[in-house]
Amino acid sequence: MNHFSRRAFLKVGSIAPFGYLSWGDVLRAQGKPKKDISVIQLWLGGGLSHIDSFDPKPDCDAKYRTLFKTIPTKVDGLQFCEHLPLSAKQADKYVVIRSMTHKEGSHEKASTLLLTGHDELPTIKHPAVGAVVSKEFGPRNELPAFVSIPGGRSRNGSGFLGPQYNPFAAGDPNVPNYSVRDLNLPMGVDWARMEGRYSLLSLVDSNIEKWDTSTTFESIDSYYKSALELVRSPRAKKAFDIAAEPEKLRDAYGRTGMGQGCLLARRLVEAGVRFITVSRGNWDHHTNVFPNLANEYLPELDRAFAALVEDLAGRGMLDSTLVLVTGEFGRTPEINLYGGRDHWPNAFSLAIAGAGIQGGRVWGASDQNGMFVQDNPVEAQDLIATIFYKLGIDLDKEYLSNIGRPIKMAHGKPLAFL
Amino acid sequence: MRTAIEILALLVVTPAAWPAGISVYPAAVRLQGARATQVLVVNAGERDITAECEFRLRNPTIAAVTKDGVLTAASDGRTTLSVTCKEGRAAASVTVAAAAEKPQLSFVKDVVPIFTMAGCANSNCHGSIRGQAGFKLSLFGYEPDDDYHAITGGDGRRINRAEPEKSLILAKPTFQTQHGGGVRFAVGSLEYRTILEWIQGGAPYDSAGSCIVSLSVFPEERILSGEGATHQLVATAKYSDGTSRDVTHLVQYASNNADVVRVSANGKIKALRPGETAVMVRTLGQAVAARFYIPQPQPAEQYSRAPRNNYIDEHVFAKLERLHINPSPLAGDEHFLRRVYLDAIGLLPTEAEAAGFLKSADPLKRSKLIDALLARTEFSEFWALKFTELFRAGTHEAGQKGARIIYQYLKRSFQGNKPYHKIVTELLLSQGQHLFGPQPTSFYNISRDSNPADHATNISQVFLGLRMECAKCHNHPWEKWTQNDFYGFAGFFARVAKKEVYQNDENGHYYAEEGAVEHPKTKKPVSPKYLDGAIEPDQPEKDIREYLARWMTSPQNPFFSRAIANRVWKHYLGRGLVEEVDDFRVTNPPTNPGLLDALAADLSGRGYDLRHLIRVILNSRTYQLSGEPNDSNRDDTLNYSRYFLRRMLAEQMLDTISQVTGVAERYRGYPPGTRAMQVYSGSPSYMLSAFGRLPRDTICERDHQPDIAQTLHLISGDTIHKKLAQWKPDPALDEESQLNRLFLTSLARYPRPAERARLLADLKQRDRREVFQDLLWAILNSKEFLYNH
Repeated sequence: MNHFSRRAFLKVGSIAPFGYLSWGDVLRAQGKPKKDISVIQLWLGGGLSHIDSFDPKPDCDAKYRTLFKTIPTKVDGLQFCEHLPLSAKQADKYVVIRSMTHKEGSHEKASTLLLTGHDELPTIKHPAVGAVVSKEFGPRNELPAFVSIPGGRSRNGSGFLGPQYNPFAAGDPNVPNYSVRDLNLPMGVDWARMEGRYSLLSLVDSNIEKWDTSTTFESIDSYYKSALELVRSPRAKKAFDIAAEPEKLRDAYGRTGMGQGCLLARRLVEAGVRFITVSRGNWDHHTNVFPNLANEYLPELDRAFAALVEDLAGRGMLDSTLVLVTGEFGRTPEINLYGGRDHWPNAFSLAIAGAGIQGGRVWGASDQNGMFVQDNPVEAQDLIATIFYKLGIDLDKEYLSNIGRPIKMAHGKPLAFL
Repeated sequence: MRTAIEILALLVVTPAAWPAGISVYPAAVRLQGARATQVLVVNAGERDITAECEFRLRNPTIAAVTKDGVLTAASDGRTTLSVTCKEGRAAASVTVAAAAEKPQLSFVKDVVPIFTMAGCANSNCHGSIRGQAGFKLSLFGYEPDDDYHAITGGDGRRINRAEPEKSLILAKPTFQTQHGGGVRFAVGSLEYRTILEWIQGGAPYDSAGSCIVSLSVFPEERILSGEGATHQLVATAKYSDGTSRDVTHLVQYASNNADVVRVSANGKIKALRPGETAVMVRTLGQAVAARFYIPQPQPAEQYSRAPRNNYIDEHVFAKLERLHINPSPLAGDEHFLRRVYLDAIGLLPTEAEAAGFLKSADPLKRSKLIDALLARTEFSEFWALKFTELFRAGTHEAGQKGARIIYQYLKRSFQGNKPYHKIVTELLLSQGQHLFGPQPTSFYNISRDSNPADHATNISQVFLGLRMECAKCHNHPWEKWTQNDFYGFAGFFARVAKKEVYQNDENGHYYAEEGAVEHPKTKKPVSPKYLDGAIEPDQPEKDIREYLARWMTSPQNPFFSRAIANRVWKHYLGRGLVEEVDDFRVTNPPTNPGLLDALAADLSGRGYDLRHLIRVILNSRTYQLSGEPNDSNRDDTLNYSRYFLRRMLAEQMLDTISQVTGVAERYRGYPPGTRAMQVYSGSPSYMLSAFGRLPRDTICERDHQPDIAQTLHLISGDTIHKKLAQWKPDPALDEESQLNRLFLTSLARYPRPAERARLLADLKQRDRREVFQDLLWAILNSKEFLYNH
């Protein structure tokens, strides 16, 4: 990078004298009521190669260099790799963090860290951020508080908070005639008949109803209630009816899992869902990283992310919606024998928008080759603390874990520049 | 270091009969050096009465004793300590040596433990892999070398030799300067004085001899009298130079369940509510546990009357008696019938089987039914599937075909009642092409790049119940396993080699002529070494896995038979005696050690005949207790005082839904008529995945948490509704008989009067088929159906 653009970077990047909010600020904020903010989390399972996307290093050593060109963005002095052209045009709406760092090189541990804000432990199952939001705020209406698109909850689940805070799996909205599984009454069963069935169920159930000494039966009963409300809800049907969106907008988001997932996420936020994870796996490019990214992965992300922030902003929803794009870690600057990049948690990038965050800025920097963080390192714990802080969740709150040990909600400190 | 056998032997000590009178621990005190102290505990039976006692030394110039019972050295010699209280008298001998010597404080023995005790070296603080705020300690002090460099190295600010009081290592934890971790100990405390004196003495590192070899705790087990009762713990460390000393004030304590028992920083425990838990005691990478039981306030009366069917009931009821818990009565025939079918073969009784059993007056009908079920093919298929899942078969390139070979091998083995140790031996020695049976050739083919370390992890976890994974990267934080133990064990699999022919069915594993495992730290090849045992030198002309198999399956192996007995027990009783079933640790003791030993001894003594063990379990009264709680056992989740309810496994649900509706499920890639329990690989059904069938990417217990997606699928999903749509009433049956059939085949009982009345009324008003469909829906959605009870 030449001297001039380096300076421009610093201009863009110099936001606050200190990295973290002081404890005083945090304490002051914790007295305030919770904020009515929704979250859309774009989860790139595996990891986004930072130096092939948000953190290009055109001047690095040849053995690390990306095959991609560098392009300007809407923000003066900020550059991306060429396969994020649409996101580049929306760069004034979000912050790019180029100094994410942690120490977990395995998928499992890194996912746990980024999804829960806690280290993976053999005994304690920490809840994912969405589950904490679900527990802290509850659902806004008959729709679930926490939805995952397409689904899966292995490390994005409720952990020790209990099953009622698990995400609701919406399935893949990019399939033809998408509908949420099991959300309609079966053929030939109307509501009168369903009510008859339900009363018969209560009669049969009374036999061993009192035998449960935990709260499992109670939660099952509450699931039946919520499930029936959901099946009955016109609001839910409407929210999941992605076909009601104009074809042009659907194309703008991209006819991909992530594209339609982001569009569905916007509809769900409108309908009252608090936290939505849109996942896309296989960002694990140990082989052929460049063709994979150029032909499939980056264009899919680019379209979906750019359309989402533009759409949210156009509808006046961005101020009340936090959008986060993150993977598990970055990828090794050094290109391996198979033309791929391996796991690299030492430095990576992510993008974050909305909820009052002033866009068009960069925080932190990696070094010349994208190997290590040079300025203002940000740990996953701090990122998660920031999300809680934005939502007005008490960071010091402790929950009793499955092994009876109290666990603090967040270990990190909120980032002042957000 | 104590061997595992010794430790297990200690755990089985049950203080069933306590001598009257009082006793002092330790009975012989030895104080070496000016700093030595000894915490005393006086027991009357199991009660700690130290605070109520008076202590007197026959020769008070030798030692001093506080009224709380802490002894300190004064001058060399021997004397007697007499203890008096209203329960009686007792005495202890006291020997003091080298009382005038104030030895140099040891970094390893005296300083490092402070960081664990004060919480500094916990995993969420400086013991974290990242350290904290630029300062990293080894987790719970297991690497004192590294800790020494962390403290004395760097920019030198942590130790201030010129002005020791200004050392950061003292200023931070006492909060004289900003410290994210707050106050850990006070200025002037014992911790403070120890570190200060060590720095004043030049902050030296110890020479050899100060390595800790074992940690023990007194008492190892106690029944506390009830809420509010207290007991002092005494921790003793043994060192490599042969000395030992009281380290009660130098260890970290943690209660495994702080709702039941709380423990203070100096080792005083307090009972909070009825229940049981272990208290972990930890220092310098060593950990031990003491178990505490707090019985219900009211003694229970029914033990003498509860019949014992076999040794299982003796162990279970003896423990319940100590805890003042009444077991539930024997389960009624209908509950037992449904339960034993589901647990033994994963299916429900047919209408004829159910009606026949309920009607029979044969007093031996339960044990006859057990024998009949254990002889059925479905019994073998159930266990074959469980182990196929444990082996994570079918996850990688050997895929479905490889999984089928393993599944069919296991099914055949269980059908032929092949002894368990023979099965394990054959698996360990397996080699050949993955896709060609009949031997279980794809056993080692768990993942594409599986290596000796992976095999060591999997095999120790599955067959020995030991989670060695931590020791792969560092010494195990809650166990004695070191990295050397781990790689020594991995050494047995060094020559397990792959034959890979790209996209060719001939891929396989074979036993190579050479190969070695490299230690990640020393980078040197590691010789195969048994866990807790000797080195087994590798011999090129031999398959050393044969030696491993012999060691593993020997009746003397303390892990092998207990691990499988515990797995089998969990399958039928819902909770392992050690839970999780593959997490045997000194700090995770069994809830009923005597029972676990008895089960393990029964199994190995009978030539590892699994059917025999299962028959004993199913015939026990414990297994046959009702699932209905009473007032005294409502809170019991550990001691089998009633049958613990549990949801059916996904496979059981699908198979029984098919049974009840008479409409089979189709699984892609499997022939028609295949039951879910025969689907050995993959999850070719939404319902199987939604209800917890595992993708087999890790050795994990299944998740049985209910969730809303499951509920939606039961309410309106196509699994049930496709079957209801195809269901037709039997035209040969009248309404009553049709009703009886539906109830008997699903719930193994006849309809109760309220159910019968409601349904007969419905049948008068509505279409017959619709009423029965609605009934089927209600039954299949009921807890009585979905749960085993």
